This record gives sequence, structure tokens and C-alpha cells, in this order.
Amino acid sequence: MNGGSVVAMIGKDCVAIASDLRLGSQAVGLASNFEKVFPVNDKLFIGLSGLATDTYTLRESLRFRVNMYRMKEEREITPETFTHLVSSTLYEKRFGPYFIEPVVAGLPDATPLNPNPKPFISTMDTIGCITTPKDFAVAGTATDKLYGVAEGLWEPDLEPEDLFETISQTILNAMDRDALSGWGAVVHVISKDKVVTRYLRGRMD
Amino acid sequence: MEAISMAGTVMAVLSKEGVVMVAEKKVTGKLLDLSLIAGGDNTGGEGIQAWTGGGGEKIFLLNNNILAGVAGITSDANSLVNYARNAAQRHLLTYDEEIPVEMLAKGLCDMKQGYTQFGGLRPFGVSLLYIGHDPLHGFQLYHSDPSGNYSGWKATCIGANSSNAQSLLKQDYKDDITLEEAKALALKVMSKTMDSTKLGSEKLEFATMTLHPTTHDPVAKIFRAAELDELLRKLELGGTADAEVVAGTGGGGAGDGNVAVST
Amino acid sequence: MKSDENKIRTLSPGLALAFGGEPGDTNNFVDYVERNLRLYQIRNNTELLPAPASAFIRKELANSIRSRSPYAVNLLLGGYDKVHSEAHLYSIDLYGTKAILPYAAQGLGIYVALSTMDKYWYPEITREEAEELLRKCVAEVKLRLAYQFTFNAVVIDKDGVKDLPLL
Repeated sequence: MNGGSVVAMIGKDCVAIASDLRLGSQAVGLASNFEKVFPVNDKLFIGLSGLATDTYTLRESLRFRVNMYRMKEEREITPETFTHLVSSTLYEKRFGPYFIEPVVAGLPDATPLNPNPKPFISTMDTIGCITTPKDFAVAGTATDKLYGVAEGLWEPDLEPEDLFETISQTILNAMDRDALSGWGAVVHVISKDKVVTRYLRGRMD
Repeated sequence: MEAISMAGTVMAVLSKEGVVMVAEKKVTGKLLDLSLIAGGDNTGGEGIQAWTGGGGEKIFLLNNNILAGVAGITSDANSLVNYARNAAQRHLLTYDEEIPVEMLAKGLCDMKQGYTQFGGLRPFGVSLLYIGHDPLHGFQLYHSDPSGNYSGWKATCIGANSSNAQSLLKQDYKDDITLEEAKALALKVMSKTMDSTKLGSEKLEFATMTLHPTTHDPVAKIFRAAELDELLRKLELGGTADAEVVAGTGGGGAGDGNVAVST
Repeated sequence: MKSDENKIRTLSPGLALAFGGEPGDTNNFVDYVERNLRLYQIRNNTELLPAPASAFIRKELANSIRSRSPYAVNLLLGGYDKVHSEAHLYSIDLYGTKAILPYAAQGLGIYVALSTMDKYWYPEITREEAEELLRKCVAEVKLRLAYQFTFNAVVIDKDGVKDLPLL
């Protein structure tokens, strides 16, 4: 109904997540500044594509829950734990679901038990059934197109700069084939020591 | 009230560039196992790390823009801190903005007042100092007592010896005080108020609320032990040398390296 | 039935709300919002700024849409934030979808008005030019729509909410 798409990809010791910037009401485009990817902490992001009101509602309720988790546990939530938090938040509304398909992307911190953690992405359906792909995850109105382009462009062990190029081309080209996504995009590339956020200009039609 | 006047002193000083809070730790001693605290020996941190660095005994982060220092019954204080953190998150959920400092202080006081009015329940035996920043009123400092009264201050103090400290603060405070001067003033007054001659990170907690130089968002900083000792040495108020902390005498006597003070 | 009803409410000195939708719902919902903002002002001795006010209103509509009797109300919220010296405009629909926008329109004339503003709005637009653009939108709607409405408008700045003559 509002349109919008999100994609996340795994690289070598890095992950990237991107969304388009369109907010529409049916065919009318309302805003070109509607980001659907939100930071959870330094190295963890979530993309919430679907019904825009639920994008807001879920972002706020997840922020609440993550803040509570941080206060009680006195540590940052890991991508895996956060995925389960999102999943149970969605399943709470099993019989009147949020119309959102979330995509989670994060780099876990090294711990004594897991000294070499792998980059992590996951995605869920509207009621919280989790899948954790090893390559890329897509969601939103351009899902079919994103799958097509991502299947063609993605390769294993991309360095941050190459991963940025791959995910940018994927979302830009998929958006052009979808009437309800587009109007520019935002890309976050999370690597060990920093997060790079870039805004992409797209076709404005 | 009795518990508060015996409790470790908490002091806060307001400046245009930020707010400073310092607190006297009472529960110290060789046998206290610091590694069991969440942040361990590395307790403290800046910004979002102040959350995960682990709370101290006296100074708590209530929200990204608000710190509190407590004096009184510790278990009561923990319960109040929990309530305040919940209230701050509820505000964030409804209004999508950080809670204004006064609103949080007032919310807590409304609750504390309720326990003074009805029989069967005992009031919270806690006084608090709140330091924080919001866009409405800039940097602020509030004090609240167990009865649920609160008031705003430029510099104030709660806990043991607070009336002495208060008059010292009144003497030396000036309206155009800088952040660095505020830090020095708080620690200097604290050194006069406390029994011991030399200050050190094992007896103090120290925190500031400032603005981020580029984003202008409030940044809470709970000083790590090493950072506080460095500051103390710079101000020539003591500061435990790193070597001393590691070495220690280990004996039970009243040796030089023994800083154990019970309760 | 009635073509000259005032559909703009001043909520506080720096905040005004334009509304459309199901006739009974609109007034009832706007009353509810107005009273809640007033209560906030009385309790805290300070006005709720536009950004948190928009979050509050959005939340109310988002909760309402999943309740047993949802409000069918579309809103445009305009406000001047005195603390940060900024003007704000929000478009909030009956689902609780909030957009933060430089220009917005709702209702029957949405296509005409948005197209007009798409063409003439630019980032450095002055206040006089913006007022003129609003008049242009109204003229365009009157020209192209079968229904004939009368319009009223307000302008919100640091001094508060004032009526804006459209002719």
C-alpha cells in the first residue's frame, strides 16, 4: 500500500543493508525521505518494509525493548538475540499481524566463546518466522526483482567497498522495475571499525 | 532521613558547558569483588557505553540525557532508578523524544509523595540529585527528598556532611563557572568533606553530562577508574597511582596500601 | 451539504491542525488531541513542541486503526518550534502513517494541489512565495474540481497562528 523495499547482504567481515526512500499512498508518491532502515546499536541495523504506520510502530516498540534489554543486561544485544526479539514481537500479534517483513543485518562482537563471529543477516515473515540466509535477504514490494538482481550480482567474500557497489546496483536496478519503490535509496555498510552510510539518488518517476 | 544523612555524599555542580556529579563510595574494601559487577574493573563509559559499562553504587544513568546520584537506602534507590528508567522509556515511546529533566524528576516525586500519604507502606528512604540536559531548559540540576519535594539548583549536595559541603559550594561558586572549574570545585569540596585526606577512584564515583561537539546531543560520561585518577592527579587532590591499585599489601593490618573502610 | 466549514483547528500558540475524513470522527478526534495537548501544557508548564506532538497524534491514530472503532481522520499538522527556531509540517493519515514534508495536501484536491506544488516549490522558497503558491493551489483546485469549496488558511510563525487571507 505504501510501497518500499529493503535488501541486506553479507560480505567479508562486513554486512550491508539498504532501503529505498519512497513513501506513497497507493500510486501517489508522498515523500522521498522515508528511510526504512534503523540503527539498533553501533553494529546492528533493522530494515522494516511494508505498511508505513507499522514501520513507525515497530521501530518505536523495538527501540523500547532494546533499551530495556540494554539496561537490564548492561550489554548490547547481539544480532541473533535481536532477531528473536523481533520475531516474538511480531508473533505477539499473530491474529492481527503487523504488515512488515523485517530484515536484520549486524556484525556480532567477538566474545571469549565466539572469538571469530561471522557477519549476520536474517529476515522474517509478518508473523515472525525466521530465516537466516548465508548470502542476502530481501523484502518489500520489489522482492521479486531484488531476488533476480541479487542472484546475478552477489558473490561471496566481498570487501566493504565492493559490497557497497553490489548492494547499491542491486537496489537501484530492482527499484527501477517496481512502481512502488524508488525515489532514492540509503545504504549502510557495517564493517569492524566503522559504519558507512551513503544516500543514492535514483529516478524520481 | 537518618540513612540519608549517613550515606555517602553526592554533589553536583552546574556550568554553562555541562554538569558535574561526584559521589563518595561507602562500600569499599579489599575483599569486595569488583569483578562481579557487570562492567568489572572497567565500570563506566561515555555515551551509549555508559549503559553497558555497568552502574556504580551511587551514580546511575536514567536516560541518555539524565544521570542521577542517590543517597539513602540502596535497595530503595535501585527500585527508584528502575522506575525512572521505565518512565523515561515510556515518554520516548509516546513522544519520540528524550524526556525533559524536570518531567522525570517530577514523575519520580509524584510516586515518592504517594508513599508518604497512605498507611501501611513506608516511604522511599532516598534523596536524589538529577543532572541532565534537554532543549527546553539546557543543563539542569535537581534535588529531590523522600517526601517528594524537588527543587532546582546551581550546585548542591546530599548525604553525609552535606550542610558543610553546601556552604563551601556557596562560597566558591560563581555564575560563569566553566566545566573544568566545576569539576575542580566539586572534587575540591568533596576532598574537604570526606574523612580521608587523599582522594582516589576506589572511594569516588564521577560523572559529567555535556553536549557532543558536532551533533549537540547530550553525552553522559561515567568516568572509568583510570580517568578519574588522572583527573585527581591533575588537580593535585590525590588519585591512586595505577601501581598502588595492582600491588596492595594483602595483609589485614592498617598498612599504608590498605584503603578498606567498611560500610 | 455545507461547503464552508472550518477544517483547521489551532491546538496551541505554535501548532495548528487541518483535518478531513469521516465528519463525526474528525471533530471528536481533534477535540481529544486538543484537550490532551492542553493537559500536557497544564501539567508540565510548557507547550508540547511540534515533533513530539506529531508523534503523540500518530500513536493515537496507529492504536485507533487496530481498535474496535477506528477513527477515520486524515490530518495535516503544522507548527513552529520556538526552541529550535524551525517550522514543521507533517502529514498523518488515518492509519497513522506520518510523513515529514516540505509541502503536503490531502482530500479531493490532492492530485491537483500536489502537482502544482511539485512544479513550483523549491527549497529556498520565501514566506511570501509560499503564501502565493498556496493561493495558486486553491485557484487550481477551484478550476479543475467539479465541487466548489470555500477555503480558509492559516499561517504559523514564531508569533503564533494567524488567519491567512486567500484573496
